Amino acid sequence: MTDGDRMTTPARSAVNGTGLGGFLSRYPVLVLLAAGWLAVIVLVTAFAGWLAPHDYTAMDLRARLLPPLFWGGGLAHPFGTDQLGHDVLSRLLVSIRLSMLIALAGTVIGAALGTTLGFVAAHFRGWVDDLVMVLIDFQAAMPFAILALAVLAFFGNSLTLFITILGLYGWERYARIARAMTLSARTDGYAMAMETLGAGFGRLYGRHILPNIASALIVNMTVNFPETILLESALSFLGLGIQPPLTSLGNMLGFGRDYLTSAWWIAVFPGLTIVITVLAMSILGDWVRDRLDPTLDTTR
Amino acid sequence: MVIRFALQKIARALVTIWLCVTFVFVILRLSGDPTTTILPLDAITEEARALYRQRWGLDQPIFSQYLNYFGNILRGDLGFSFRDGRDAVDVVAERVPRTLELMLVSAVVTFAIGIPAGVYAALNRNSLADRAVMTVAVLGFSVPNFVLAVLLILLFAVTWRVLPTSGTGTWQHLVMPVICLSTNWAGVFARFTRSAMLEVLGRDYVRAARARGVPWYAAVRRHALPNAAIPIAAVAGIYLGGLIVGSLIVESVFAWPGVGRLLVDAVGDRDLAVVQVIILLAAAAMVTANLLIDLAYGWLDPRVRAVRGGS
Repeated sequence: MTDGDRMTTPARSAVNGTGLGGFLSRYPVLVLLAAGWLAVIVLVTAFAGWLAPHDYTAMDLRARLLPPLFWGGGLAHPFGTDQLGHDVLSRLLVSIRLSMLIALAGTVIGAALGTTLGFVAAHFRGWVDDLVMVLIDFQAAMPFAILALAVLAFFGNSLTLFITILGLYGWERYARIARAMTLSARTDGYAMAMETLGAGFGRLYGRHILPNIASALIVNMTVNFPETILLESALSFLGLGIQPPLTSLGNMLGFGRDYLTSAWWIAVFPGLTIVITVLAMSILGDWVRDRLDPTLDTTR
Repeated sequence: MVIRFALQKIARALVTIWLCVTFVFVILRLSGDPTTTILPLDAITEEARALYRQRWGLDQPIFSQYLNYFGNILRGDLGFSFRDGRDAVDVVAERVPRTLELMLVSAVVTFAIGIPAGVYAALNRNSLADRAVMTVAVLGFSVPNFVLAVLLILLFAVTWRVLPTSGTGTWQHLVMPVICLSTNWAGVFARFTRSAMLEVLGRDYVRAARARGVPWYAAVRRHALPNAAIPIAAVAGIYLGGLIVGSLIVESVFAWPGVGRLLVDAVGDRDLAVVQVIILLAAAAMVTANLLIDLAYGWLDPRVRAVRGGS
């Protein structure tokens, strides 16, 4: 150990704290719990097929509506079974995977579409910009779920269409952010320099402006992702989203609703999973935003 | 200045309505031959199709179809419900009062809980009470209403057997739907009111009022709340959207015979004429509300009038 180390170490520990206390002040218990839960969700999403004790479509009519482990059930079906003898735990794992993947796809599509439109509006200005702004205002003024239901009613339901609809959810916020930040970036030296050097649209926006405005877009994605989960769950819950034999959290909850009097576990497990996941995302999201941007008023 | 401000807002409202009608027209035309999707299956004969095409002008060029479509909407001619053959406008209209009843009661509950809770938390900033109120508020808006609905049914109807799970008629029927529709937004308004109040409470005019010896409740009521009302009013437009979407779920779960449940059923049955009427109704409600809020905003805050009207 050199002298330099001895001098800096105590100073650093005075700021950050050492041991458990310091660790907890940097990472509050709630944030750790939220991160832990989301890690489990990510693992389930990746490995649902291997983790599930049963095939989620396997029916066992002799084992219908069995209660969960501590409510008189057995180890074979720790979360009980549903009205057709499906293993609830297996369905829950597979549902988590589908809900997360769909929300991920929806978020990525929305971010890509909205950001591109924001770039286009800021690049061309004039009537293109006006058109995009009118569309943004229209989208912001109409409740998205109503428009989504209209499209589902007119075109019927398919998984591709459903994911596309979820992808459109929230595009206007990305477009607004991308447009506003691009307008200010274009007056910066680097963007003007690239344009003068003859960089094309793709190169200018993809390689130079996007990295500079990415953090704001990512923050918006952390808000948009749980909202997409909720929209998917709500539509599936109403029977207008994911259709059987596929299963998602909202769709499980929707079917479980009919069996509340005899078999609460069918609805309660997916319901709690949705609540805890969305809550964990907002806790972790707030925490990350506070760390990324110290200028934000954390008391709000 | 004021008239120009109002005219700008009205023009934007009309553009939004026009876009919404166009949106419905486009998806209606994109979704295939309307004679196969709108006519009841047992009524499809070639004569019926030809008659229908002629009556709806489907044999004309697309642009005149578009104009006709507008004409039909202005005349209130929006087609017939596919399920019972009645005028779609009538089918929707008879459901409206029930939905309004639910929304009004819920809005009263939301404001009566959310706004005082936010004011209280702001006045006791960083105290234990503030943290408790804000924790409840975060939980309140984090629990999705469809999950809350299932948990409430489990508690009040299955376990305790004190409330009916579906239908209307008595005040007991209102309890669970209103809780479901109010919880999220009471949480939102509590948080929003708190931050709006905190913003205002530190301002000179509030401090000056307190220094003049005005008691705190008078300072809050006369000086802080009216100024905090401006950002709170801005949320109200989003709130109406939230109520419309919330009523879809709540009415479906609790079998409340309103427009929300009708829309969910109509989408399931692909009863397009009814879906179309409800979308236009929702658009009209949203646009009117946003217009009124924008105008009220200018009235609440003269600075907005000057800045926006002048730009």
